[in-house]
Amino acid sequence: MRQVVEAILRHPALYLGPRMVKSPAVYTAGLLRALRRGIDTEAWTWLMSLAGQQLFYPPNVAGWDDSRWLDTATYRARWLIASQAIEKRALKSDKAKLPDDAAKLLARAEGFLGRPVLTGQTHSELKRFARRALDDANAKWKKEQYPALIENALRQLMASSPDLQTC
Amino acid sequence: MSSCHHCDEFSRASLVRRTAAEAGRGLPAIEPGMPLPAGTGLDRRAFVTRTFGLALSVYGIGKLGLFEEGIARAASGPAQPVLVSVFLPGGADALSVLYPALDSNYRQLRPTLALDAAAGPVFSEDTRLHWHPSLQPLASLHGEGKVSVLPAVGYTHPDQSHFTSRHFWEVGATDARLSSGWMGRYLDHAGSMDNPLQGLSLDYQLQPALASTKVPVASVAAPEEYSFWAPGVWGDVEQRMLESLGPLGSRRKDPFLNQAAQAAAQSDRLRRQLAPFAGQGYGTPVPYPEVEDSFPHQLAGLAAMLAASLPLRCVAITAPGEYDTHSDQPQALADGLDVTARSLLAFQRDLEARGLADRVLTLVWSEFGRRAEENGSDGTDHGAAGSAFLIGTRARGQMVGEFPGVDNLDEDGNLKATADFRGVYCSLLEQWLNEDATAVIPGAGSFSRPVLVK
Repeated sequence: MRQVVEAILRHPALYLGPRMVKSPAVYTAGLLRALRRGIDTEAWTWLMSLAGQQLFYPPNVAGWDDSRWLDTATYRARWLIASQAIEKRALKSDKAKLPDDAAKLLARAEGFLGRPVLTGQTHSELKRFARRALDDANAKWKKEQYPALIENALRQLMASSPDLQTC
Repeated sequence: MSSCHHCDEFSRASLVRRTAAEAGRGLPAIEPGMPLPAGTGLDRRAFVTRTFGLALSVYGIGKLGLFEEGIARAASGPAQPVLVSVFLPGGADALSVLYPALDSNYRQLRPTLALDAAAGPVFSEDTRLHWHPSLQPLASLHGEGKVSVLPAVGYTHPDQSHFTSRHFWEVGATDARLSSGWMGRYLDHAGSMDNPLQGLSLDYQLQPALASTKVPVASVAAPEEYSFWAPGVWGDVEQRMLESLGPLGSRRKDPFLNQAAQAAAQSDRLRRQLAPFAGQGYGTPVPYPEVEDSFPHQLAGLAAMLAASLPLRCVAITAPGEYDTHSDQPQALADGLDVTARSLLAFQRDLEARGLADRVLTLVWSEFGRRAEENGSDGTDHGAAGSAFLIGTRARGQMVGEFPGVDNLDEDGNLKATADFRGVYCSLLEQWLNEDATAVIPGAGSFSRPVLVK
């Protein structure tokens, strides 16, 4: 067994091959690891089940079928997984003091999630979101509170982005 | 409700069935000769009806693009009769559902579980029997002539495996190899190639009784729950966040990254289409039970879908509760029956209030009944004949078969069937759905047809 696992882990295809859609368990574990959060709730079992994976009851005895992990139901389940993962550390808009700068907010969100590798397309879209949301702040209280809301939203959007669904 | 009163086989069977329905292949065996659930292996694709704002998982072959037109066409045609199948999972105890309160043999067989005569209302068609106290709502409907009672329904050579007996009921035959559901086969004959709503599984997965071989069928759980909330995000920012879902799903070069992006884009489209349902749910003209279980809510949704002229013909749903009561039977059974019966009463009143009651019949069934003699752990083991009900204003409202009594049990000590579920299906097909049963039920000619519809 050890030799087999070692051969798999050392095989270049594991690191250099085409991207794969993460299974719900891999996706969840990756998020928790990035957040340095352990298994502190049983919610992951039902959330992963919603995402299509029940541990120890795989979809088939032949192994995983990466093409079937994502549809409209399981994508939403992954959104819920991301929400659950980041909820405990959500910023309070009336307390957090954050810069009203889209690039800085995006950099903070990337840091929060362990600096994942994002495609330029995703990076641009997240930045565009942050910029537009900052532009909506047309009152003093909004200017004070929106940056924290935007930071929370960036975390959620990044964690559930296509980039983090694949590896 | 107790969650550990059922047997291991029931738990494993439930898990395996769920896995089978999701994946459609590669089942670990839980018993020798175990049948695959009907519909195993059916292709599943997501589809949203723009006209009705419903997100469906569509099973079977078909071109998704044509469904919109097919559903609209079917909806504009003459209203069809609708059959709703409600499954009580685990083998509900027929001798508690309708119990012979004053029978000395019954009290002897059930020294701790026997229910008192005063506990439940008398069953007017056979005054030896009383309704389970939790079934008062059904007793009321029966009093209005809207419930046909089958006190001992089953089949010859009863199989006491949850998995196998349920499979028999789902495929409409005592055939472990049959892989299509009985309602699915009816739809193959009477349905169309472009209306997946004709067979609707109110579930996250396909109910095997609906598994067809030719025409598409669909499943939908709760459309109003399809929303995207994020912690610590609200107001304008939340709106902007939701607007970003679609652009994040724009096309990518890498095929797997693109697959993930497509899922995001499709989810965003779906979210926009279902936005009218978000957080509100369906309006209902009558109150439904407010409980944790989604069953009453799903029935309310079903009534609303029928009111919106969705072209449904066969619908299947699992009732709340676990009826595999090997232990702690009194509480578990009472809890499950209570929510189920109150929800079914509300559903019937809802249909009546909407003027739809003459179009819908609801069949309530379980895979078997339970042993007449109680076991030593406040429960009962797997039996043979079970109880079933046909509910609706068009139900004949008269008992089908008779109560066989507990002094005439089979060799295993179980209730003997006095009605065959395949004969019931033949009657429903011919008297309600206007279909020749020989085309749907194997060996249909050998079953007598009880009169079920008025």
